[in-house]
Amino acid sequence: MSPTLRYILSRLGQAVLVLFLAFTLAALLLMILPGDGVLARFANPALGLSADQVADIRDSYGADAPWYIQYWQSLVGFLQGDFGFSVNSGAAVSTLITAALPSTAVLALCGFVAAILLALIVTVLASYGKPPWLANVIDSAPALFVSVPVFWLGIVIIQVLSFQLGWVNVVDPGPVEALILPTLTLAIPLSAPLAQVLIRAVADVRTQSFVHVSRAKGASEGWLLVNTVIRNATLPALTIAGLLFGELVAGAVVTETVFGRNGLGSLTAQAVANRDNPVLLAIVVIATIGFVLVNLIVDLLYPLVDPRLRHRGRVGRAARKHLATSTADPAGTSGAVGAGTAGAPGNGTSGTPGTSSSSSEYNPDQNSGSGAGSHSLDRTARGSGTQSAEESSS
Amino acid sequence: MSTVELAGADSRSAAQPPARGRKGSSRSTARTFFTPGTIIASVLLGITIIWALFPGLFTGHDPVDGGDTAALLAPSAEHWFGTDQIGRDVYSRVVHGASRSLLAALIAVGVGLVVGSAIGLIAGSRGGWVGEVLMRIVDVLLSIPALLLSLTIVIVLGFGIVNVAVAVGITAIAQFARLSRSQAVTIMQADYVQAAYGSGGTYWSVLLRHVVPNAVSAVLALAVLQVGSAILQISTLGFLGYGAPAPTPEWGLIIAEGRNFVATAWWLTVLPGLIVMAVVVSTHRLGTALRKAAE
Repeated sequence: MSPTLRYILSRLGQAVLVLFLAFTLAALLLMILPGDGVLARFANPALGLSADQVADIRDSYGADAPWYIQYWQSLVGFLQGDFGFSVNSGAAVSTLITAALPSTAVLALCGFVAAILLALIVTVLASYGKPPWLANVIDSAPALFVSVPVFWLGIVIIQVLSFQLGWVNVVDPGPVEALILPTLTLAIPLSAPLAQVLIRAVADVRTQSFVHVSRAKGASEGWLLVNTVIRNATLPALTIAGLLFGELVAGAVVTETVFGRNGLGSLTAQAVANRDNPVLLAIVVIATIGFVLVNLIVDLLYPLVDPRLRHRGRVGRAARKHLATSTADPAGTSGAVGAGTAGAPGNGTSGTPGTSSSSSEYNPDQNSGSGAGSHSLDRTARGSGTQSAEESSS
Repeated sequence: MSTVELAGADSRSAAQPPARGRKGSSRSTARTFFTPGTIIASVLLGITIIWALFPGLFTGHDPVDGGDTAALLAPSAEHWFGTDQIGRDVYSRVVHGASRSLLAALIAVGVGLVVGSAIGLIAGSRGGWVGEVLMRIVDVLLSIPALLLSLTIVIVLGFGIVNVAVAVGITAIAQFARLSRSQAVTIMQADYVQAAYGSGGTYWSVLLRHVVPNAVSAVLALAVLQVGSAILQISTLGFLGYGAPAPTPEWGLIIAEGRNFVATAWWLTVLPGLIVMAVVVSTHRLGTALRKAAE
């Protein structure tokens, strides 16, 4: 138990360190570097503020303090949930964010669930679809979805589903109806990397000997799909959770802008348009916390999902030994399959950027090189996850 | 013993074994590289590059001034992509926008490639605390969602297509750093690097003569892959209005301007978007094929 605890604590420590450094980077860029944002905004003669009033405003924003004081104050403020005040509207940033959060949370949740469903459908059709040419067409769909500009997709969806077919009202929709098209817009690009990873994983699993054994024993394709193939494909899918979170954030910004929804995404777009640095800083920090948390949770989940990772130390070797002893045993499926897909050295797991050696990828104890902490980020390397996932589909 | 033998040979010949091995397999690599998919992708990309270099060859219409052309004409033989709300030829705007979008993508990938590879190569070949610190910086860059990181940089640098390109490039640094680091780590363990050190090579001479040339093919393959993502991200920022100012023909902006006419003039958004998509798919295809060839 003690090494497990040590692993959890060290991952936790790394997450906190990365968060702190990310906050520092964002604060440097958005607070310290711009110098006098307050002066630039309020010294405008058209506002008719007297010098005293400007001084008061500067005082209220703390703009006259040296940068390290400003940095320290905002760090303390962020730890207490006080994100300062919007330069644009003067409202407390925390108020703006709590007001925008529910709408975005609902959209993100719907989009995420829809993306998983879509990815599963695409995976099953691409892997088991008949006739084969149809399966091939569906197989190449994710590569296309990855390359779609999300903002364009949203516009086209409005065009086709709303104006051409008249299925969904976008001019004056009800609360549920208003959610349909944004959810679809968010889900399609989100489902693509997931589907690519799943298709690859299913192809890998189906060649495993325990699947042949199960089939020989009389298991139906449907039973195999649910009980062995999908179950074993979830591990590679977990590797791109961080990537999906990043896509979700970017997707929310674009989707809310296209559909004119109020939420964190449109708040972000407005903050950039108005150069409202405090608002953007808060959003960046909150999104980064979410991103780091997702990666942390995934890292901590691995040993639970994949029993091989409960072996400490040389996981690759342990896994291969496992593979040698238990391939024919359907009960030991997760171990055997994981070894086939993840343990084999030099054979990059789908979803893992081909840059890292996959044999050490899953070893939580490994601390050499860039350290265990970076491995989680390795998996989430944005873009390259998509690309390696794309590679896997072709 | 082997050190003594190699000490006489210059370090270039020490680097030859891996180079020769690569040359031997190049014929079969070429065969697997030229599939129908990559050929179509190359042709599409080639057309886009010629668009960017010589837009006048492809269209006689002015991309910025519509003149007295009727507004919102549907696509026809005269106006392939129709005309927009002030009578500008949309096809002409897309063709003229190619140079801006491609140049911005090249700037972005260039920033990522140069900075990222430098970080990665030094971290991978040096190791120790230098490597540790460099890769921690990369971790931090990776921990901020890409779009928000680029927005943060755009807000600092100000709007404009070059600033947007730099911002997108900074989000790509981490990937180049990771790839080149793993390449450098592998290369540093190779015998010919040991031999080069043995024959009196310094750290920098080994880095420049052996590590960089041997890492370059994998890094360039990633660069081609990144061009597609960069085009996508730059057009997204352009769509949100942080890129080129209004009359400029830039792909994201063209689509943004057309979105007010979704109900009446579908061609304003659909056709430019299809072009962006075709270019992105092509670069992904080529990049993926190149990456396989580089392995």
